[in-house]
Amino acid sequence: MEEPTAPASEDAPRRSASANASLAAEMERLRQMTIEERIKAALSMRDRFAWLDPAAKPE
Amino acid sequence: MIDPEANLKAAETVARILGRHQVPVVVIGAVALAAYHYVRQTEDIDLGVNADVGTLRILATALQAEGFDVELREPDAQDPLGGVIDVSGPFGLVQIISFAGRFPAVINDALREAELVVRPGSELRLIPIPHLVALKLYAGGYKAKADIVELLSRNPEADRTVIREACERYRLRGLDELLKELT
Repeated sequence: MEEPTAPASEDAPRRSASANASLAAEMERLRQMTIEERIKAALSMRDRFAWLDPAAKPE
Repeated sequence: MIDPEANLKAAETVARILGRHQVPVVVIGAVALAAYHYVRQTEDIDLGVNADVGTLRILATALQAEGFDVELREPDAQDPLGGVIDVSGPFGLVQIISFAGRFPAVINDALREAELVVRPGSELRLIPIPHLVALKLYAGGYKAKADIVELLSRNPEADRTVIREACERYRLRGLDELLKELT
């Protein structure tokens, strides 16, 4: 009995529909911003998402 | 905590100081990616230049004289970069990255073809997309490749023929493999 074969490797991976929708929404949001606003968003991202740090630091 | 406005102002001041020494700059790295709709975390502003080590030493002295904290990292023979100056202060970090003697053509071409600035009236010009892709290919590694895929997926109108021609001109390989990810 032959082992099942993997799909052709040259097929590029595809995004899911929800991932596409998410990217489209994000792109629309970014298009509303100026270059300066996008740059400042990148530079402030660490502080804006600092709450994502899951580890409670010991005293 | 980084103050993005203070960081941008510091980068503009640095660009003015370098300009006084006839060293033009172009914004590269994650800040350029953000300008082109790929906003990911970054904590510094990278400025690409072509300046030899002697010029970098002069620039470091000039920046120190203006009150910046400055560290010059000179390249060794194997270094893919031609030297880096870290310019820091309460505003955060600005990195001056020289490609002199390593990959000067991409900076020269970017300086000649740059059309966008980070904001009206700013000295900070943005590296064009084809040159940004070329620099990422030159950097290599998974993160740089992921940056290219994300950059191009967010800029479908960018002329891929022009990007491909630029990479071929600089003899950089690997673009076609990444373009397959976008199909």
